[in-house]
Amino acid sequence: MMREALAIAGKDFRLEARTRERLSSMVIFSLMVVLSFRFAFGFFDIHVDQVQESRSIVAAILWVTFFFAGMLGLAPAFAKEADAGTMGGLLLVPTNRFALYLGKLASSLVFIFVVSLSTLIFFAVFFNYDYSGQWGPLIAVTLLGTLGYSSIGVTVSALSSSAKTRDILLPMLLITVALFTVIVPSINATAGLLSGDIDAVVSNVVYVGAFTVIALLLSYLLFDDIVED
Amino acid sequence: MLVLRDLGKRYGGKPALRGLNLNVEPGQLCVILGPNGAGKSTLLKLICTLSRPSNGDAVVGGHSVLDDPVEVRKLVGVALHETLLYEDLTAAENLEFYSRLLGVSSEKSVIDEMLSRVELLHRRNDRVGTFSRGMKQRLSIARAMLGSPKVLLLDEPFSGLDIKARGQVSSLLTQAIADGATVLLTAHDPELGYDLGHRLLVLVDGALVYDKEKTAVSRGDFVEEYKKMVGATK
Repeated sequence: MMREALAIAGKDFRLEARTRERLSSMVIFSLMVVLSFRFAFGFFDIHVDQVQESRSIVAAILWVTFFFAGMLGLAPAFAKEADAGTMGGLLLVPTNRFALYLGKLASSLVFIFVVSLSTLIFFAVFFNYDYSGQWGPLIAVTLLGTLGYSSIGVTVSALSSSAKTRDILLPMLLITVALFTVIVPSINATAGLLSGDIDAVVSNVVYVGAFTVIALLLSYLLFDDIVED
Repeated sequence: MLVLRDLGKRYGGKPALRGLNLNVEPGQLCVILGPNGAGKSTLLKLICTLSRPSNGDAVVGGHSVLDDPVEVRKLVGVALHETLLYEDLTAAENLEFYSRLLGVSSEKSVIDEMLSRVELLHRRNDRVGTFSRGMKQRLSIARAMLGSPKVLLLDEPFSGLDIKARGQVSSLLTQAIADGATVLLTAHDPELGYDLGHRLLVLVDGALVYDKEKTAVSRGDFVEEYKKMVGATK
């Protein structure tokens, strides 16, 4: 199953390297969101120092950006296959179709994680923010959160790909399912990390990790039925 | 090699296929003819597990599409209306990707051999998006034949092809049959169907209304009978 998953992820990376449609739009979007926050705070006379002091605001800005930029990466995961008429080729994979899920999870995770790292840098630059040597743990928490987000997002993307109303269905489903299971705990974990509250980090990381495992298990059980005609 | 038992499919309560029964021997080339909406494409999608039967079962090489779809997918090669090709990948990259997906050799020599068989070797490094409809169709058939599948399911493989390309595809099918493959292909043209097939099937409104070996009927009689069967539905 891993061989097929790697083939699908490799194909997505090759297509992205050639067309640069997905990643570039996600990175530009994240840059726009961070800049918007920067100017919005300036407009309301909220000084950068005040933002820096509130770890929760920093974490929320980061994860809201990851969430919406990630949505741009998750939407085309299956919708592009459906539109291009190539979905059938993937469904003919001669193994459990969970391989298709894993392949799309791998490519989506890489795209969202790269955009998340870009967002961390954009935030550091435009808010003059110092992560205080927390880069390692911050990247680890970001990776776990984006894995949880992607594990839900890929299933939701498959579910909504053939719907006429997919442009609104995908965000609605993602907000409903991922917001309180992955995004809010990831905000809490990141805020805990930046403020040195290790207990908050551990409890929220365990929550996100557990939910990620549940999402993977549910996807394993349901994915074949989701993509079935 | 292929057995259909009361195979049926409904879309929103409307029957697309009505309890088909069929037994196809290994090495046979069956041509399925019928008007638009007769259920030809639906039948192929059920056999290759892209769609799930509403009733009945299809057994490919001893494996049920309901109980053992993965094993069925290992045995079939499929070319549908959609070419299943990535327009932003080159011809060679498309075949390499599907070879990896199918777990068959993706070595350059194998890919080049397949491209050569459909006379696209000179375009191996060109993006599929720059190909004509006929070239895409030939590449799609090459993709379906990767790994020499035991059963080939081809949905109107001659549509959009000029006379030369039709000859190339016919040669490919002849070679596949000689290699032991069983072929089911759909077509609109009864004369073309007669010339190609060992066995002639006609679907009308989701029901199998005709099933004869080619040797049992002359070309002219078959064409006349086909026109009556299809005309009777209008």
